[in-house]
Amino acid sequence: MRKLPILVLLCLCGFLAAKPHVLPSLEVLGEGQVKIPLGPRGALSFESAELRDSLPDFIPSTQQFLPMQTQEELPKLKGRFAADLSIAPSFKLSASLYNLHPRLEFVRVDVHDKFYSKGFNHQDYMLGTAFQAHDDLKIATALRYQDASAKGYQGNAFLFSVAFDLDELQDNSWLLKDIHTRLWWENSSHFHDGLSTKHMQPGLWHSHTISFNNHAIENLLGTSLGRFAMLSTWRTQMGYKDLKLQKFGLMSDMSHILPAIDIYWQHSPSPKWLLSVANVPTLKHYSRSMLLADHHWAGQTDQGRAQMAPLNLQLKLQRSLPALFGSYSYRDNSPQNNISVGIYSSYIYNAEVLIQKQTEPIPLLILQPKWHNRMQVAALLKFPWFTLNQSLIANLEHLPHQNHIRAPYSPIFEANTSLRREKQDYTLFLQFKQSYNCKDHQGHSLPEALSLDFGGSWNPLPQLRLQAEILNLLGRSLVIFNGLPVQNQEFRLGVQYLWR
Amino acid sequence: MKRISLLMSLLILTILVPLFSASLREQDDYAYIIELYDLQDYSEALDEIDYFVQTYPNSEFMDYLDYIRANIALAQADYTLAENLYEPLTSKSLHASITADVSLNYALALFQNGKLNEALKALRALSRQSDHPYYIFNGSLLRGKCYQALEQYLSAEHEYSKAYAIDGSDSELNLEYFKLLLRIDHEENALELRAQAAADTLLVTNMNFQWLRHLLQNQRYEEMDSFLEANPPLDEDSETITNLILTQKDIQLQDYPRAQERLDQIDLSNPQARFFQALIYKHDGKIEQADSIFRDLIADTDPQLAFFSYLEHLQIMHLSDPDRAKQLLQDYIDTPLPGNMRGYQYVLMATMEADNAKTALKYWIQAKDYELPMDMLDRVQTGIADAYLLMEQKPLAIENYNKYLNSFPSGISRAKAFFLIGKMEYELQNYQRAQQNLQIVIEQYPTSAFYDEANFILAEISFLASRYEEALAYYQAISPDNPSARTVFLRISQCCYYLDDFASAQQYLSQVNSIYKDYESLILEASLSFNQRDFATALELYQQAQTMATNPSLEQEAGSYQAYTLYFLKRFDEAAQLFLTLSELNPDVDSYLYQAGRAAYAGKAFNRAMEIYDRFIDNYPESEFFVNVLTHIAQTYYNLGEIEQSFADWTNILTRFRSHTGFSSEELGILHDTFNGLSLCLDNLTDVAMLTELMDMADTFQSEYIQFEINYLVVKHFADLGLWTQVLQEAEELRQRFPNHKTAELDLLLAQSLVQLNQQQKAQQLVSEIYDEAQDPQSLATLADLAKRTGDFAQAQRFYSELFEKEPNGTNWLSWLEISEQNGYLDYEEIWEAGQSYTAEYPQATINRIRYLITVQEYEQAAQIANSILDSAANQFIRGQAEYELAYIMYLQGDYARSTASFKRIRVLYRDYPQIQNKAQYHYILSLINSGALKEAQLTLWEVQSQLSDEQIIIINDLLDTQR
Repeated sequence: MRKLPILVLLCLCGFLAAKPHVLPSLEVLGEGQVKIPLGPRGALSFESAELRDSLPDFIPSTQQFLPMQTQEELPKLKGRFAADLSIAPSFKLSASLYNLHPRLEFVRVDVHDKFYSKGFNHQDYMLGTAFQAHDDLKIATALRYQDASAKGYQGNAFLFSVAFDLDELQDNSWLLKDIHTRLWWENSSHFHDGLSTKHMQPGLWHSHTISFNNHAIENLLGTSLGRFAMLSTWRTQMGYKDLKLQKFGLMSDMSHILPAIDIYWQHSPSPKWLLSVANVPTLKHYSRSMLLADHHWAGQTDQGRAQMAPLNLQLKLQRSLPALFGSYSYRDNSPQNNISVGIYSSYIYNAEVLIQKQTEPIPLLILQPKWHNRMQVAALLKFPWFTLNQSLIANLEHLPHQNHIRAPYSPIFEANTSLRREKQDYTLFLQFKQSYNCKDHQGHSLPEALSLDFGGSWNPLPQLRLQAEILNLLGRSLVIFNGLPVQNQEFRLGVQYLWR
Repeated sequence: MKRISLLMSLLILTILVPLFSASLREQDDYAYIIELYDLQDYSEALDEIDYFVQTYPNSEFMDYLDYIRANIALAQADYTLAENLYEPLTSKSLHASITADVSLNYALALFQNGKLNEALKALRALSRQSDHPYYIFNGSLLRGKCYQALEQYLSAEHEYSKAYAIDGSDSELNLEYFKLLLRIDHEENALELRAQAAADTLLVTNMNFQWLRHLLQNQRYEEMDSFLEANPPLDEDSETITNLILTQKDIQLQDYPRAQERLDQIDLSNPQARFFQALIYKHDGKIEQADSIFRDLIADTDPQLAFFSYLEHLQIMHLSDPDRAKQLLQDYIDTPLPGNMRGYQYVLMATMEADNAKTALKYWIQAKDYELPMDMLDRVQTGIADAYLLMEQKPLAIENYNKYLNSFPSGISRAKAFFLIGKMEYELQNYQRAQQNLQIVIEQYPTSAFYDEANFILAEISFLASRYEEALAYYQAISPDNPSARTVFLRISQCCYYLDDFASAQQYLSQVNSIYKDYESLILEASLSFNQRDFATALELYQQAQTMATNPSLEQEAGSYQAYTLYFLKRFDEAAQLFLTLSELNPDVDSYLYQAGRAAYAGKAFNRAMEIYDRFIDNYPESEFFVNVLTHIAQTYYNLGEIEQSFADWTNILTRFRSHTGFSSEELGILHDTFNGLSLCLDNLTDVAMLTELMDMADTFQSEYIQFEINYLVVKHFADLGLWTQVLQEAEELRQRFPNHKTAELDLLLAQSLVQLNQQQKAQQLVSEIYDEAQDPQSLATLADLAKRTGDFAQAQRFYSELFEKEPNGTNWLSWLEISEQNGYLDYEEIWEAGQSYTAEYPQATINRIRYLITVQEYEQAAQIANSILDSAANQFIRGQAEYELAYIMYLQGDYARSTASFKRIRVLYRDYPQIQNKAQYHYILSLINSGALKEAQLTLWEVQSQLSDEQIIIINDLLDTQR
């Protein structure tokens, strides 16, 4: 047993040298030092950096460039003054002023007076404004006074009108948009055929579109000469190939109920050919001011309703032609040479028709149905020095309700030839209008109307334009309606100044 | 614009008007409207149109006025109004020239409103309506733009080339074509186009902007700088635009101070500049200022700017009221919008829903369907990967981060992508891939936020693979300000521990513990105490650690360390019991039972040890400790006095290596134990038959080593038995058979036998011959050793002197010092001087010096040196000796009270060092006697008698007798 301590030491050494499975052996570092068999350590956690990335900034890719087409910017327009004088005699003055006030955008004054022989005269004064009543409401107003007189005839009309557009109105299922409204108040008086009439009427003309569930209905309603009229159409998606039934519905002047069918067809077998067919029914209103403006010297009707054209057919075929010299520019969209044929046919209820009682020196304006057919051939040709615009027209007008009184009108043939030269600072034109086979309302032939007009304008300064025209150079009297003044040779001078 | 005038004035003539009506006035007014339109006095033209409509409500010109209105809306960029006005005109019977113009302009308005397919339809109508080169050219240009917006780039390219064939000098076309070529990455063609347009400086400048934007979008920032150097902006306007582009670059790179510097050079009335200013405010935390600008810009005329301003505004709102922001954004998504804007809304929505990974993912993927700029796509791709990561779908997340890295070579989140791939691969235990990716983060993105954690994970990989030096380098690269600094210090401390740098380990651990203590730090602290042999503290700390263990395996780990510590505290029973408990808890782990046996054995509970070993043999026949256990059984038998059984077991173990020719270090350890065991058995057996049996066995082994060791054992045993003749004979034979094995030992044995046979001269001659022959220091050392053993200290000192001269090292110096000590400190001072440089490395030499100083009665100096050792040395053995020498000085100086106390302390503290114990016990008793505590001395003598030499016992007894 003397060796026992040695053996114990040996065992200890053995123990120290042993390599247990989980516990590594103690390590002897020399000189009696030991090291605990510290086992493998587990993984430790580390406080991670915040991983969430912020969103990159939204950077608009709007690309700013230097403008490559420099536009010559003119100073803002402050006004325009125009005067026109003719030896008829007549004169016309017009002045527009813009942006007088941040809310008052526009004021325009027009004065137009005509003094013909035999006491025929017409004066027309008009004041128009546009002002921004509210951020979203712009109101255009007009104040007009006309006075016309002739032998045994006197008429005048005062008009105040207001027009404005409203914003869209929307509920969950429907949307009201394109709301345009025109309101007016009119005061007129006429003395004709020994009768004096006075009218004092408010008026309304309004249009809007209602859409709901992919359907859209366009409504147009209002008063015409004090009578209600309306057009209501449903916008369709129907069609066959290029033929589209665009809208259909009904219109009424409170006397007739008529269908309104709007169709459109366009066909182009090649880019040179363009054929289009359309029927565009229309509803238009009248006011006494409008009638007086268009027909100064005619007795006005007491019975008036809105003008309706259920049939307003337009058929056009156009062919573009090669350039007569050089080639078309890819930088310029001026029209190509072309030739076109058009056939137009309109059946118009309440069309303005002038008739004349035998006892009366001046005609009477009545509203009657009228069927107007027209065929037109036109050509546009550009030559080095000028552009030629030539049209030939055959008109056939028919008054169905007058059949028992008069025969249908004979066809009227018209030709219109225009040569025009336009340059940066001057324009010249020569126009020759011809009209054949004109008849008066009783079927008597009228002399053919031949009118050669020549004129030009010149801009000596960018803001100044001078204008001169000789109308009816040939000096042949042009009779429009028996009893109304004829147009003789006339010389007109005009000037326009743009104030910047 | 004169061309329009001609177009219109021709129209005037086509209207048939009767003579004498008011229509001359109407014509004049109409002509005036056209004139205003030509002069671009649009608002005045519109006013005149209103007047016209009032005056002539039934005019034939109405459709044409609508056309003019539409043209004005188009020119004023009110595309919605333009579209609404043009739309009805497309189905009106207008003049053919106007029809074509309406179609083109309608298409333009539709394009601007983002209705690309409808625009293309309108363009198809246009191509049927006109063959005018103007419309063919513009149709192709617009078609190209539409196709480009529809991302049909080849079709777009075809259209542009058609237009280019008509007019190659058109600036707009050139620019659009250039943009397209860049979009489809035909950079060479684009640059060729730029070269062809060289004469048009304005166009080239615009192309330059486009090129810069292209580089910006592709995140080629360096090329931008070099391009700008070669093509500096020529005028102030170009410089402003260039500055805006560069500001955008800075913002993209999130360099906001620089962006601000640039913005300061730009007039802030530019809406885009204001937008950028707001972005900078936002990033500077001036949220309110930013929001105020964004809210202003929502109404800007530039739709994209307005759109982004709204999105930014929502983003700001999201900070304070996330639900409302999300709701508003959802409403915005539900409203109709051009497709190219939609993607951004989804991007924002995805960001707002970032916490809800599935929803976010849905929006990211939706966003991807739209065309987005590179930086946004960059964010979308990381967003997708992030969402997968949040959903714990790591393979998909890795795939998407890789996709990101492949698609965005200059992406802003590359560091993050590399890092997250690395981290996930680490978590998926693909360490090599993890290392590759994380290494990139460290090398290429040292300033990134992921740098520290990348280092940490790399360190963890090395640490867990036990590559502690490598791990240490990574851990030390982590910033000490990191929030996880404590963890890092703990790891560094652990690394130092594994690398045996205990001082550093202690230092770092104290930093760790200054924050708080946990299981890991306690275990380490305990282990460090253990290493300092402060087992009591270690045990306490291990117990403390055990209470903090978070799972049973850690608890057991702490338990096992406690068992070790108990073992070292010589509380073997408790250690064995603890190991047994651990073994029962972990029946699969053999080492606990093995250690339990060891502990029982160490506690001298041999029977219990045998019982445990038997259980081990039964339970773990496949264990790698099996042979170790067998050796321990043999040792136990020996200790139980069953020498023959022990011998049989040892030979049994030996036979297991019969066919071995090479051995692992472990096997060598076992063999070493076996030979020791056999040797001890032989010592206790007088039966020569066993020697013969062993000799016969020798030749059955294939290993020369084993053969030699057996024979050597036999020779040694002959020597022990004093059969010197046989020793000589066998040793000689062995030397010849195994000329390379243990030459020195054999020589020594030969020499010893020669000495024993009174042939000292022959012995010395033998070694001298060998030395002369080989001149190797080893033979010289043998000679010295031989001389020392034979008691010829003078000769031995000469040999050691020569040896130190030949091979000056600490070991040889120490041997030289020690032989000098035995030689009565012959030439001691000289020897000390010769090797003084080794003192730090060999503290034992200092102890030797203390003994010398004591001998020459330089007590004060000796005590001083001893105290300095106690102040500095960590080695317990050295400390023990120093303490002993200090006590001995007190003893020699007659201060028996103090020396008694000191020796008593040494007896307790240095139980593990028998040499110190022996001397301490001996002098303790002498001190007791000298201080008159005879009874105490007597009792102590009885107690420790076994540890004292006979000579010491005699001296003590003599003294006791004398004192009595």
